[in-house]
Amino acid sequence: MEDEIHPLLHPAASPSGASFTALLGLPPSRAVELLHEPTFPSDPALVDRAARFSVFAAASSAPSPEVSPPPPPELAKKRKDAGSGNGKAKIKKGKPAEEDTDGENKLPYVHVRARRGQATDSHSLAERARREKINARMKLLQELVPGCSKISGTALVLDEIINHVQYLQRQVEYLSMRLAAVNPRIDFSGLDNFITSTTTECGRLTIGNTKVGTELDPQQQQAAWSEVGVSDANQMNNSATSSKRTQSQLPQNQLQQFWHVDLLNAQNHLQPSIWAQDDVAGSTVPLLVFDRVNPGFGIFVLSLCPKLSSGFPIGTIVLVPLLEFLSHCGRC
Amino acid sequence: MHATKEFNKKGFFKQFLLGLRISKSFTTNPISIEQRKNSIKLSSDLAMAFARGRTHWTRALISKLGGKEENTTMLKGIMGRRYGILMAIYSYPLPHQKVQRGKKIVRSYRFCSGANKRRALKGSCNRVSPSIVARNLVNRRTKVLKRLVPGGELLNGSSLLSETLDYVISLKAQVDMMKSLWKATQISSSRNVELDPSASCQGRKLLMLANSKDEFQLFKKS
Repeated sequence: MEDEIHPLLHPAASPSGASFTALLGLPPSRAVELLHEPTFPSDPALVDRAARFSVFAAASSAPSPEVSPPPPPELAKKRKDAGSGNGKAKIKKGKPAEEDTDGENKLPYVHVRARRGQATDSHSLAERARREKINARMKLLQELVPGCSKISGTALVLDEIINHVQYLQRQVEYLSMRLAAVNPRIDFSGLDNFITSTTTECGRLTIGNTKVGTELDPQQQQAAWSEVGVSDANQMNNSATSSKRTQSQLPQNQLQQFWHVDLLNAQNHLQPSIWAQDDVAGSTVPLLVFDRVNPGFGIFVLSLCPKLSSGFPIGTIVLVPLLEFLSHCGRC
Repeated sequence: MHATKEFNKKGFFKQFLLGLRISKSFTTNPISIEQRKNSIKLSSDLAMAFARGRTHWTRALISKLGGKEENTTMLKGIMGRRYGILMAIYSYPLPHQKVQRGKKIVRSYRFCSGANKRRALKGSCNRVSPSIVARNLVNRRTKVLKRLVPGGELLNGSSLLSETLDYVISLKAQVDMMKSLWKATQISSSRNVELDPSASCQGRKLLMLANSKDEFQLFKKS
């Protein structure tokens, strides 16, 4: 008995090469017969079926019995059995299993990667497929979570993942607390107009129709500047604060008036027509949004839309606002 | 999956700002830090969930946040006109109903595993088989993960993992967004301190222009 099993277990010793791993499961007589065949892939149908049933075949490909060349009868019978069995046995785990129970269902000359598996019934196969899916996801998660790739074992990896998720959630909480504790004068509303415009049309800015201009020099509006997103502007709009208070706030805010330009990228990606437009009150006047209180935001937002930020010609930006700003500053 | 998040960062930011603006306009001035933090966090979470689209955890998160009464204004603001439709889409069977069923299963499973343990104990010499130990550990951690991920209680093994994957990615994006926002405010406040209010306008302007370079460098990376 062992003499017969020996050539099966050590296919490298067999004359036909190492691709006979699938023969390991066959009953000895059959295996010997196959071993002694003159040419390895004598039957094209065999090769075809082997190719189709290799592990890399799609899982949904069913064993189609439309192989045309008529094989010798006993081979056909074997192949049919093996085909039907192997159609399900594509996904095999590499566990060292008993070699006699499932031997008859194996197709010879299956691709080398076909693993010796356990039972080939549908339950274990589905189970195996499910396990492989879970393992693939676990691998992805391992790559995502830093420091997880070295850990082996599901429980520890899950531990790391849980820790990471908790850490991120705590970080969100902490950051939101910090943002809340920041100076409440910082207002995020003005950038909203900017964002809506940029998401629709990258490269063109729209004016924000705030009523701030009524307090300031109307010259500024003509030159197509709008002051967007000022907290005191909101106060002027919404609440019923007296005009005196807003006016007293204005000089103070002018100290923090900043114009935000993108100085580094002076390429002229924008079409010249944008700057040639001279619309006054229309909503499509191209202009630069600036935030009085939060200088960081303009650039922050610009960085989000790189196409936009690369298009500001430096000369126009610097000159026009400077003039306006200076003229406005002269009055304070 | 990282690619999809890159595109959505802009949408996320837009929704975030929208949420912040809504929270600002609807609240009275003397507001406690706690409330502000909560509103910021809420708007951020909602924006993130909304920008991500329709995945399991986003739906669960939105339905959970929308269930509370005080958040409806924020939700309406962020979702816009389609609030009614979207709430119908995003409504989710509350986990309470499912938990009922789940409890029974868990109870029976616990009973089962206990029986397994006892059987193993009886069979082998007072040692629990390692596979059962490993399985218990994994199950315990899966339970914890289910509690962490929004909507996770209803998911089974592999889909739970894919949802955690998605959730971790979007959490990272959220944290990055808030970090850069924080940096922006830091820089602005530092800039306010730096500038001498007595300097002339022109001098101030030039100083700002000179300093904006490093600022842009900072944000170019984020």
